[in-house]
Amino acid sequence: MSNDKGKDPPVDSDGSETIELGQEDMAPALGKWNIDKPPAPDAPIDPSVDSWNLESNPETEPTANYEPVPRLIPVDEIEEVGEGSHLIKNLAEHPQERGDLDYDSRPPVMETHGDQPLEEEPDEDSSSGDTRYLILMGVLILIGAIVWLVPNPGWQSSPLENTNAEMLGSGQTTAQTLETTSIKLYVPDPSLSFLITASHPVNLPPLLEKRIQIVLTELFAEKRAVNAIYPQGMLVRSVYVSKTAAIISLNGSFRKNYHTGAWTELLAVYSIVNTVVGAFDQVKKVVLLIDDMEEEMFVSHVDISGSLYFDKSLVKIVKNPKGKSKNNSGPLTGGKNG
Amino acid sequence: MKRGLFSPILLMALTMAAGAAFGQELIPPPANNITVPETELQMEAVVIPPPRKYIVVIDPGHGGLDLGVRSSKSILEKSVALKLAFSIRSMASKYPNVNVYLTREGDLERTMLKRLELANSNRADLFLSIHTGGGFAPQTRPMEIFIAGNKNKSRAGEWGSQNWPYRKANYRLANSLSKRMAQLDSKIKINIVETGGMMLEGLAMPAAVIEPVDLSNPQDEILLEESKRLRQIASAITRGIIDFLDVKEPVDEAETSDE
Repeated sequence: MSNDKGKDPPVDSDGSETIELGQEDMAPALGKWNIDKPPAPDAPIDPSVDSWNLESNPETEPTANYEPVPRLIPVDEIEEVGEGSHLIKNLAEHPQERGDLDYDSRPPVMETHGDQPLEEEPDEDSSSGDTRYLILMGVLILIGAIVWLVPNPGWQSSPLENTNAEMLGSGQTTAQTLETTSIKLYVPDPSLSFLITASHPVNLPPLLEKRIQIVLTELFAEKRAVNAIYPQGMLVRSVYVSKTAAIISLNGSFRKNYHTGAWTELLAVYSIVNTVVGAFDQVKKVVLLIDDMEEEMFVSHVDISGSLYFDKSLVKIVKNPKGKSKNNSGPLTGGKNG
Repeated sequence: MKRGLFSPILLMALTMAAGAAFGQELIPPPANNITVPETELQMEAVVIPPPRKYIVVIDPGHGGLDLGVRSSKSILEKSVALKLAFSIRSMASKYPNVNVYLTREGDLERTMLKRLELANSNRADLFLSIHTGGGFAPQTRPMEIFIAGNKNKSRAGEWGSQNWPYRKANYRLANSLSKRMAQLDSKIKINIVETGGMMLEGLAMPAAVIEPVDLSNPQDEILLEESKRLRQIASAITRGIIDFLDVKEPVDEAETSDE
């Protein structure tokens, strides 16, 4: 509790425990609580004085610049009466009721006498209240900081750019909840003509977003995909699942080293889409973001401005000019794992 | 002799009398009252065809900061595409009924949607985007011609799936191009690829994307060092376009004067 004039409210004379009440509890009756001594009667009115209090009780407040000091009530009084704040208010407004409540038999905390100014007992340690308050605040801040930091062990690095090692590292702490699953990754065939499936055992946590992120990290590290349809260092910034759409944000730095034709880019985009949609039943479509932003093109050929769906035939190769039909549906007959 | 003179005079007089009697029938009726059967009109249109101007939009891919593929010898896709586009426009200018427009005439960056807008707003009859193939490592890949895919997967923004009615025309265009490219090199393999990922769905005309060379193919890279190679490719593409539009070969002025 702050005391802006440097004086703490007096403690109980017998050293018994006191309770401090909020200013809002006592303000209507006791007025402003910051008087060291009442000002002279002819002193100008302090504009900081609460005017409503002065005007509302002109009889109980004989001088316009008089400001009574709040009272501190012993705990046992509060307990005895039951409704502490109401009682204090009533007592202040109707001092005669004290006798009814046997209040005078108690050791007085602070005497108010008609229009006499209050006498405050000397305070041996005037700064003890402030110190306690500061210590309490410090402890609360410390506890808050600990609570905030403990569930975010990765606070020192960007939470969005988790590498596979980081994810697996955090997964070790919850090894009991990991589930080893064989995931079909869609990777290009050696001639870069189609996508083929490659099964990989992956430890997956329960959270769907994390599962997708781990599967994609596995895909971007797949030896048949790296330097074929992806450059090295492809990173997933974040994954968010909304209803049936997996919104995947990729780190855009890969685009600097991505100088390929349309076909390679198509394989790269649908490698991601088919892997994610194929692996998780909950996901029906994929939205690709680059650095958390919607982009028109994956790099410079393939449109990613809308939702992307699993393409079983990837892209349909109709025929070559010699009339030989090319059916690429074979390698892409991947079922769903998730 | 008198009979001989009389007979024509009499004949003329009779004719004039008949004309005076039935004058209304001899005067041709106003033009708007002519009722010509529809079949005759169609025949007339066939006989005298209206001059048809074809608008062809050639789209050199990439541009500006968007380099496209970069070969091991630092040949850039955006430069190859622009050179080919200029050559195609030059070659097509021989055909008076074909007007060729380019989506960019310099090293400019244009979004694909902007290119679509240019073609659609000018009501082009054909859209052909020029790109090159390429990958991360040296490779020998078939040449690809891309056409629009499933209309339900269109992502061409506000342009939607306008290309769907031109699906068969897309195949015809791709076939025309592939036949001419195959004549250029008998060993070349060409795939016609139907895909929904290149915004072609938004074009309200027959459209395709062609990658006539692969900059990650060492052989193509060597061939491109010869300037005539690009001209050969441009010529093959131009002839493929002309075949598709079914435009008659330009007639030499000399032959016309002889006739």
